Amino acid sequence: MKPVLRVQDLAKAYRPGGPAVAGVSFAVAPGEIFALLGPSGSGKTTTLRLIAGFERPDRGEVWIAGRQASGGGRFLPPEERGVGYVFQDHALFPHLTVLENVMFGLHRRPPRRRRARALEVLDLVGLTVFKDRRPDELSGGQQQRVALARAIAPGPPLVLLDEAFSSLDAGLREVTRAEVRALLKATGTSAVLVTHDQEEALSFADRLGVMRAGRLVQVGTPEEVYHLPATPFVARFLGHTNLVPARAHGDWAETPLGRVPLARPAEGAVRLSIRPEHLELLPPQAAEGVPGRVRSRAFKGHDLTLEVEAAGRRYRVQADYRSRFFPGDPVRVRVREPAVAVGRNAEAEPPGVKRERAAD
Amino acid sequence: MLPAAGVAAGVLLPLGYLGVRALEADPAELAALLLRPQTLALLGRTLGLAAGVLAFDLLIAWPLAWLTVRTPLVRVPGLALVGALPLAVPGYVMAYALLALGGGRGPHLAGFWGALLALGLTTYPYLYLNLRTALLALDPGLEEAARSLGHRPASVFLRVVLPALRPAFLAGGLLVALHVLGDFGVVSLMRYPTFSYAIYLQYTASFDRTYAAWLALMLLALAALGLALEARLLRGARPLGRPRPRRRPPPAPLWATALGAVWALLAGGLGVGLPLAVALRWLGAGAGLAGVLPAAAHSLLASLPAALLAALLAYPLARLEVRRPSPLAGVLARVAYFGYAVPPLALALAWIFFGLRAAPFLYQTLAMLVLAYTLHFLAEALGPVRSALYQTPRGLEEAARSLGHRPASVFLRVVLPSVGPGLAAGAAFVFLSAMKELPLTFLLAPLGFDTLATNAWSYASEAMFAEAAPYALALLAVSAALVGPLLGRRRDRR
Repeated sequence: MKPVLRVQDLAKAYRPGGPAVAGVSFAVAPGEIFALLGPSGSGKTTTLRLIAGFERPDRGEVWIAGRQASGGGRFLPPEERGVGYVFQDHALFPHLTVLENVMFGLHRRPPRRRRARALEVLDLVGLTVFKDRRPDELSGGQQQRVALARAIAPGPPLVLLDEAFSSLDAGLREVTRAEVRALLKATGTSAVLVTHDQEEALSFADRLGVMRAGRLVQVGTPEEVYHLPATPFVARFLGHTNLVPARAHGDWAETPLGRVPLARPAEGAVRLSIRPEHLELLPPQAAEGVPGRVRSRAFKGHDLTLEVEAAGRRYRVQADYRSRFFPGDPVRVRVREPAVAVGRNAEAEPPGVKRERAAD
Repeated sequence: MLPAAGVAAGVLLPLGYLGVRALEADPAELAALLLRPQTLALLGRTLGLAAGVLAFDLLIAWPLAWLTVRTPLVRVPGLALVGALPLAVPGYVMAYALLALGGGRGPHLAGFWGALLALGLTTYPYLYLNLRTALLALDPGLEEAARSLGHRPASVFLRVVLPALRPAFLAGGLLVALHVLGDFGVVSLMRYPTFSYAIYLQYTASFDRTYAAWLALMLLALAALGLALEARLLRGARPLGRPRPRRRPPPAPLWATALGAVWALLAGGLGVGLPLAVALRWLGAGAGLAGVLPAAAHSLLASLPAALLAALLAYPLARLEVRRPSPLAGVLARVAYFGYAVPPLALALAWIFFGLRAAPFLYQTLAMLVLAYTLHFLAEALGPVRSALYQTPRGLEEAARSLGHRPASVFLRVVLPSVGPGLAAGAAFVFLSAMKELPLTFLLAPLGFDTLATNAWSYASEAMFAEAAPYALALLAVSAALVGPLLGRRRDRR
């Protein structure tokens, strides 16, 4: 099937020397939900604005539903792209009612069909009873749903969501996310979601692309990207991990924690990503693993996180609620899943990237 | 609460006497008096001038606001100030400049067009500053959302930008309209009789003050109507959406940027440069400067106490409104704003009737003039004091109390340092307005109490342009010294 969106080598720099987007390419299939995940300043929102036509690219192409929207001397203004956009702060028109907001994009339809279509979409998002309210009389979650209804009312093949859930509080965010996903799937609408929240990207998207410094570092399904990160940055950005120096010999590697099978063959001095939940703690008298000592224990209800020192390094270990180990206890540490080589060991990361998480 | 009640009484009592005086007229006589074609003509001229000035201001202020916010000029510090500078020029000084431009010889602007130009060039900043603030606060996401929903730029402008700016248009427009209604200096110099001018002529020229009282009452009703109309139109107005900081200067064609710069320099330059140049030229004609110092002393003598008293009253009033908001506090604040909206000539007449009937010991004393200034301009002091109070969290005071300080010590050591700049700004606003005030001074000052404002006007009205020049220049100097810092402060707060 022809992609609904194709982005080819897209680039945009706001000031010389600091490219916001430096050559990004990806495609979104009909009905597919794609997420652009990255820390703030990685260029993901700029990419989305380039797709919507709010910004002109310096270079590269945007194709929407088989039509060239940017590139090759062409630039379609936003109003001719037929793409829905949901803003982080919703950008609902304060002077219009909910119904009028949703009808705003239906001005090219015959007048009597506008209202019917708007009511139909409001019904989809469950807000019919609020149709005569003003945006400032709605809760954050309701505003979010109006913004979505407004964007999908004209029936665009593609909806762009710019940090669309980040203004909602945690509990509401998860519920709204599931509702929106169901709605997009029900209407067969493709979507690109920009987010800095790895959990959001993993649970919302069919595929995701991780961005860093204006480039796509890795594209894949959530499982692929989580379990087979291409770089230390991706491994760290999608949840916690232990980066361990190792010597790889094809499908296994020698590590401070002993021999570990590799999920992806590698050779020579490498860095391995070992997820905390792939480490297991055993009693000190166990035959497997390497000896270590528990340094700290953080109880989180349904699970707990332990920090363990073994062979001169510290490891983060995710254990289930039954774990009986406490700080000071001797243990043995075992790797229970294949690890992933995410780069050469010599590779030095730029400072500041180490704990780079969604700060905002 | 007591100072607030005092302020309310001070504003409302004189106006009550205006009503009492007006009602003393014989009803039959009154009908004949009021329903003259002359009254209708006054109404027509007053409204016509207000409409003309509004249109003129819109033509200057809207492009100025748009071009200085929506082009990279938004990053140029001080440019916003240039467009607002004519605020420092009293209308009658501008009228003087326009009249004196031709030196009394040859064609000069007078009448409707002269009044329109003089008022327009000095009042457009009210509209400009309101529009500028609103444009800066307008969420760019609203326009992008409208574009992504298939609307062309022209449709976005009509359906999103204009409705969002409506409150700013209304607020700025109301300020301009009230200013035109209240203006006496310009219309009198331009010999264009509106309500204010007619009230003055009636009051000075005839012994029967009933008609003057009724004209003042009608003018008051007109101002009240404007206020009510604005409140009604603003009902249901919504905030502009959550403003998002613009990450970069908005893209704009070079010609728009250039036009914006030229527009700002032209408007500001004409508004300030013209009166300055004309007055300086006539100063060269060598009229005596002997009267300037005594007049300046008089101006200071009346304006300084008014400024201090206004700041003193503004603090408890603002504190009541900010710290103990209640319907009553809201009403009292409204009364203070209403006192500001009352056209000064109507107010002056009200004070005269009040003085004659109820407080003869005050009549034609400096104290009465100071009181009238204070109560009229109090609203100007209220704004800065209130925002300073909003920026001083109540917790600061509570923290000081919990650290063992008594209320007096808390006020001196915590409140005053943080509210002090607001009090100073408020006092400065009132001082500036009182220095420039003409009709209140004319009618309420003790006999022979000439000020810079009254002398500038008197000489100008006699076409003695050389004699008027030093007074006009002195007023411009005082204004320039105060307006720059005050406007700059306004910008910093944003």
